[in-house]
Amino acid sequence: MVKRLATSDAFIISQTRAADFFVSIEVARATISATIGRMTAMDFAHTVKTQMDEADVYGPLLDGRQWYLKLTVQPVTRLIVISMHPAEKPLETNRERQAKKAKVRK
Amino acid sequence: MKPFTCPECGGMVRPIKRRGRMARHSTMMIEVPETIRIPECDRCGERFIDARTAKVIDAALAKVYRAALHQLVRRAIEVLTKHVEQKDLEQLLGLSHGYLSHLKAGRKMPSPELVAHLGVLAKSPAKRVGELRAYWHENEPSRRTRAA
Ligand SMILES: [Zn+2]
Repeated sequence: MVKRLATSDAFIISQTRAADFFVSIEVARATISATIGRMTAMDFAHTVKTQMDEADVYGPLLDGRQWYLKLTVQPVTRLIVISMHPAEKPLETNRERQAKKAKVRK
Repeated sequence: MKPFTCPECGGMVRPIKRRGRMARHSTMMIEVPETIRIPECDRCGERFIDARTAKVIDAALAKVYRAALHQLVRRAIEVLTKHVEQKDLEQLLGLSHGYLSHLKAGRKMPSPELVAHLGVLAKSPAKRVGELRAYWHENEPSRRTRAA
């Protein structure tokens, strides 16, 4: 559902924590939509509690750099991208967790 | 857009008009015209933008941005041409002859990159134009081959 909402343009983005990291709001929306469309379970990092609900945090890679993407789905199927900016510190996503496990097994 | 709950603080997000809202457009933060309604949280102040609002804001900011670039480029050319002939400046920047006249007259749209170059040169015109001239001179391929 998240992918469908993101790729059909039916989503909302926060301005200061997402849009302002791009050259324009439309570029931000297009990049976010494409990023969510490409994301897999490997990009998932963790779930955080927000004041209202819960939000999922992902660490997708954009041009080799990890970004911090936090999103939530509200009733009436509203997808809100709360954050989308370069990660300030490394996020451990399923990708890193899997790589760690593989290393231990060796 | 119907009001909804802010996912971060639980406040109410409603489309409102007001002054003093800044948003990024290319190289600048620009004030969004106060007539545009943007959904804003009444508690934390975060703004939330859907597809339609994004289009409206971007169109308004693009217009302001273009005007700002024109004004900056005109100002920079004015300062620089007190120290260097316009045709020499065009040559130093690899621009075609007469291009700066088109920019001054607003017939062509300058790229932010060119505005940045001209703006930096205009900060200290005599010194920086001299440096630019020397830079091209020192790096002429024949000269570099001889030096090597
Ligand atoms: Zn809020």
